Amino acid sequence: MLIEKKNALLLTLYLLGTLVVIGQSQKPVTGHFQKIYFKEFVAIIEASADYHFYYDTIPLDSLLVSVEANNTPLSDILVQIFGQSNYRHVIDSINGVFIIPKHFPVLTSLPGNFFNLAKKISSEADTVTDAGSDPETRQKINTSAENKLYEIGFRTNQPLTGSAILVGYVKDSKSGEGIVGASVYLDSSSIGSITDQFGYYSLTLPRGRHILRISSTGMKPTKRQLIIYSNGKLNIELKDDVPTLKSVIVVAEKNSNVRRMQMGIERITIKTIKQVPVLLGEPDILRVLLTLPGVTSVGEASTGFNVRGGSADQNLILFNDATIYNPSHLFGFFSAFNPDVIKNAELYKSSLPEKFGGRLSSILDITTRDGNNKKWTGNAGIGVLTSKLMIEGPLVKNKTSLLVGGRSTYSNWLLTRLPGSDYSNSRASFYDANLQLTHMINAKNSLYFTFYSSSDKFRLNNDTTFKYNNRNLVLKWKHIFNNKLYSTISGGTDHYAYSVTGDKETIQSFQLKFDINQYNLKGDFNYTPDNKHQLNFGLSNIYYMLQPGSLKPNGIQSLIIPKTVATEQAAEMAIYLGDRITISDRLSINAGIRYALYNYLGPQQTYNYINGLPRDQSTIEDSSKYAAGKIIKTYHSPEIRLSLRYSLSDQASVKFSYNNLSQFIHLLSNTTAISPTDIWKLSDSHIKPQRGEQVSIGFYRDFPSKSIETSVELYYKRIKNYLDYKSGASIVLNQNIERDVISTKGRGYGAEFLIRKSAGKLNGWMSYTYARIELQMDDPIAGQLINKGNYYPANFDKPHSVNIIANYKFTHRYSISLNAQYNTGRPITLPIAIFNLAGSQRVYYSNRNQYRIPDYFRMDFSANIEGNHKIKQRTHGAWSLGVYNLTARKNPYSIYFVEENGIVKGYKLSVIGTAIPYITYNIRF
Amino acid sequence: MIKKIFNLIFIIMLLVISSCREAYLPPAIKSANNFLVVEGIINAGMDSTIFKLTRTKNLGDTTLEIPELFARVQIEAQSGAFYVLTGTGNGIYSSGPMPLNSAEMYRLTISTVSGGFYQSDLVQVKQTPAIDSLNWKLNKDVTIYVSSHDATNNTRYYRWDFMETWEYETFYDSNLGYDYGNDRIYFRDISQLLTRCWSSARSAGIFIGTSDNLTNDIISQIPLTTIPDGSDKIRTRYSILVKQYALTRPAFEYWQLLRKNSKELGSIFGNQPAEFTGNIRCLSNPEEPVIGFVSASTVTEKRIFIKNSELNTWNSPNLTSTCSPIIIPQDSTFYYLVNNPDYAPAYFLSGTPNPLAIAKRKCVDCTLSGGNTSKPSYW
Repeated sequence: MLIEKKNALLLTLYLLGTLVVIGQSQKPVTGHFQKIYFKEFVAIIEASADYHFYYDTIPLDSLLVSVEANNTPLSDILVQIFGQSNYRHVIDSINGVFIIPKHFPVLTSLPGNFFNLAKKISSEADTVTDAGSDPETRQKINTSAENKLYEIGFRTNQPLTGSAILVGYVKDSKSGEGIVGASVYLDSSSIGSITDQFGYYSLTLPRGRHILRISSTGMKPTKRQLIIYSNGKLNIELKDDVPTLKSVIVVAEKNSNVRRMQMGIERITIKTIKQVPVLLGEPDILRVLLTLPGVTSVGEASTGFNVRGGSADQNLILFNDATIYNPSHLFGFFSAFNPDVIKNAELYKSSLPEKFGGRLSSILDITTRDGNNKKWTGNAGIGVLTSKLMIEGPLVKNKTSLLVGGRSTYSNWLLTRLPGSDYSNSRASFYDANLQLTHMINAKNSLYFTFYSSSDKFRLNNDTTFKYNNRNLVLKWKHIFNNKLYSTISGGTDHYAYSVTGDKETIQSFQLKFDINQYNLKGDFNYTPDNKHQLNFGLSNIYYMLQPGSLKPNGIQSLIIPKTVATEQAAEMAIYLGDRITISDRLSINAGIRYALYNYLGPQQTYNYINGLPRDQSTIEDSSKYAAGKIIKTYHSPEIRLSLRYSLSDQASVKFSYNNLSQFIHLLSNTTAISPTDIWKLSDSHIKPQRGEQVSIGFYRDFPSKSIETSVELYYKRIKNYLDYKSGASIVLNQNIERDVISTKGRGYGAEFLIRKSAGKLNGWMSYTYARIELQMDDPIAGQLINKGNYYPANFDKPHSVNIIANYKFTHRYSISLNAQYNTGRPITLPIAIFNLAGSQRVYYSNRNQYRIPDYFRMDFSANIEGNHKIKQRTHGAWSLGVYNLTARKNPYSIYFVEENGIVKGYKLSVIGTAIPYITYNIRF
Repeated sequence: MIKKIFNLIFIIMLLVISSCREAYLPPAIKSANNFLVVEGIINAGMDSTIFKLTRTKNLGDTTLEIPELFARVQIEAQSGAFYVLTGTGNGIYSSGPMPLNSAEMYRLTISTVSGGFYQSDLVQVKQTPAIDSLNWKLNKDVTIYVSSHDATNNTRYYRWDFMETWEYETFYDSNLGYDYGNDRIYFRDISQLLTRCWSSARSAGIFIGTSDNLTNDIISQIPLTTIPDGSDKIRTRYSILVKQYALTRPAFEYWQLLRKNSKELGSIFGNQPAEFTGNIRCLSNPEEPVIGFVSASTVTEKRIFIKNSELNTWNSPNLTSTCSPIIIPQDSTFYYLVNNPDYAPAYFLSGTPNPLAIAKRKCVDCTLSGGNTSKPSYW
């Protein structure tokens, strides 16, 4: 792909001297070209029309051309030929045709001193030869790119009025992957945008000269000088911020909190994830989430997290758009996401984009990396508990890339080392695997395929095996219609299942199973008509198939009577439309509406109960039978998404948002902690969808000189039809769960304070959250009301929490991190007395959640030692060592009571009762 | 069973990571929680009204029962008339039949010696229909069913409790006694024989039913209790006396909730415990919880008998090996019985001098199995 120096210089001169635009109309060409060499093709074109080609003959000498041209502009033919390759073409006004490498910089004006510049550019052209592999040269490109003036569109002599659309991709210069969530904004005004999940952006901006700034977490911020004549395209490559590897968490997001339209978003990058000290050295995205304001969990060994007082099932966890029902390994000790494949994650706490729906509290949108499309690289890690390996690279360079990652544990081995016969026969194992395939069909179409699988297995003393697994497939097709409109169509399946098997050959051997399958199809469209509006619209379809539970005998001896709860089916459909309206430099509004339609479908047999009486065996009126596919119950509702930002100054803004949401699927869990055997339940004729609404207001203030960001967010939310349970409710294999649930309403409110220092030797963040969530039973048929119908704290109500994450960087190679967490103990209902009534001993409980377990405090420490920073060495190693729970505080996970010899005794159980050290070694190649 | 396995898995899992369990009693539990427990109904029929007042005890407390003594307990009519219940010890307060008016509302008031004043809501008097039938079915085990109906469709909610009584005999039909003081074997009088006893047990549990889902107020074949195959209860003859009480809907819901509130104690995977608020309030301290629900109704009852001979498949326990005798020389009785205090003389064998068969005490003394020798009047 070497371009002769002469040619390059020539090219530069041409480009400087004339206006060059891709897609300019030229003399059309007609002809039938079937498998001819490019050289021959050129000869034919040059002979038949007044074109002259300039290209590097060596790499193109074996290129075969097959095109059909019938009065087709040459440009279109060349797009057909080179669209999917590493080359592109440029045609100038005097019919010179240049075939150049895609990333070859195009200079279009004559800045300053012509000769100096020409020299500079020619030296740059030299470096292009190995630009893909050498970031240092790349930096040169970046630097020079920053000084260049890019002309977008057709040059005119008319005064530049009105606006134009600029689109393009923001990519990682090293791997060629699109960068998600990068800010692309104008220096001078509030016009700005954030790249989508593919790194694509679209910006409507006034014609004329601008400075465009581009920044993203962990990447070196850059700028582009532009002169906009008309609509055009600009791809921007961002460089990894290598020298400040472990420290710059959010330096790139300087200003973004103030500038960003939405509020209540927490963005986490893999670097943040890797730097927070963790249990047993496993970098863990869910653990990092728990350090953010407004996010808590009920304890260490619990699946899921609670956002602003929502229950764990009110979070939608999307992994490249696949719904993950159980995001954890080992019953909640670790998250099931391999940190090596994660690109970043966004947690939406208050203003949910209209394209998301279906959960009340939050959306956690995890994006994986696409894989390096320039060269093969990898990453391997060895830790106390797991080992992992990730390999990525181009299948077809710059076109098709593959990323494969896997993690597995050797906890089996650890278990056998533990003293005591209880565990020596026990086995625990888990793995997760990822496959990511990205294929650029052409400039307008690309395909993304994601496969994710995680599995956990725990076997207790050779007789009971517990398993659960996730399996997800997603295929996405991104199509760019034009500069104003693009779409993403995706389809996929999500599967989650668990089973419990009693293995011993006895009459009691059993197998219990639960599973949920979800089939998704959705289309998202993004339309940017002008610089005042940015429209999002689309529709989504989800079909649920849920097996609530089946019990089967296991082995011939077993006398277990098979029992199956009838499967459930439902279809959830939604259409949405949202518009981001820029009213002035200071004020912008995001207004969206989402209409959700939910149908609970047959085959099913449902009971009808006497109106107004508690649902019970004794209050059955009759039953109805529904055939397959028949609609049993429909729920539908409009959802409003509204947010508003007003900039007080460049450094300060106020935001407001309002949302209302519906959730059609419920997690049934009547235990204090979320247990892995909890099942999901679809809304049906008795169980109504959960509804919620939230209003929030936030103040943001930056102190750029000190790299400090501050924010205060206040919120108030209400929920309806949240399920609570009657006492003694049994969830497993319950054929008539509607008899055991009671719907409640809830209210939550809180304030979140955050101070973040994003650059410097010492960086990190500190947050304080005051949050309450209280429930009230308002079900008229509940019978006896909990807490006499008054509000009571929900299980996960933790009023005060303080989080501190601090990193100190001694040098580029050595850094230390400290993480401290405090929160109020969660509420608990205590048995407070014993009495005899109706011939047996009974326990009297306090009011629901009247008491609290002791407060939680934990401090972790880690030290990271990077290998040397020579970019060109074959492998890069890094050590990470640390201590989890440095103070060895025995944080209570649960308080429970057992009867021993007729006396009830209380115990406090701490999951992590001691300081746990760890060491891991990671190698990049 | 399955839930237990889950618990076990999880607990073990926790232990694997780091077992850390400490005895801990939350402060709320340590403080004395002695709440008043009220049990009984206002009997509007021709029978006694009996209330039992006890106090709840703390979790770690091993005291059997804390009765509430010397309280002033009375039944008050809305109109102002009142009837005093007299304490008969052990927390029991009773009164003979009271001329209650079924159109009136009544309540229970309690003044304790410690100054607490408690009052129930005013409750209507419900008329309990007669028990239509009390029958049993043998299907390996014996299950007893109750049926009732109310032609006026007014009852709707029912509660039952029952008293089981059974006759049983010792393995050895022995009339021997032993006088340790004088080292003497003697023969018991017929009136002092310990070979035939009657044992009784109150129902343990909450038995309720409703006809809410039916157009007619009919209760059909509600199972009350099951006597497992081979149980001692039907070794000879068994009887059950079932009392039926009509309930109001709130009372029914209270009992329903109480029934679900098992003894299971907030373990990690324990079910959410229930609170139950009865219709009795502490007026002197509104924050103090009171346990119990006061209803007023007439009471109907029915008794049936089941003879062992009616059960053709009943497998009475084989006590031959448990009660196998030891043959000893009569002159060594003292030595053997002192060294084996759970043995007693069973019978003499023929021979000179008469060898004595001794056996486990409960094989010759029925009172050791919980019953007593006085025959109930209805037997």
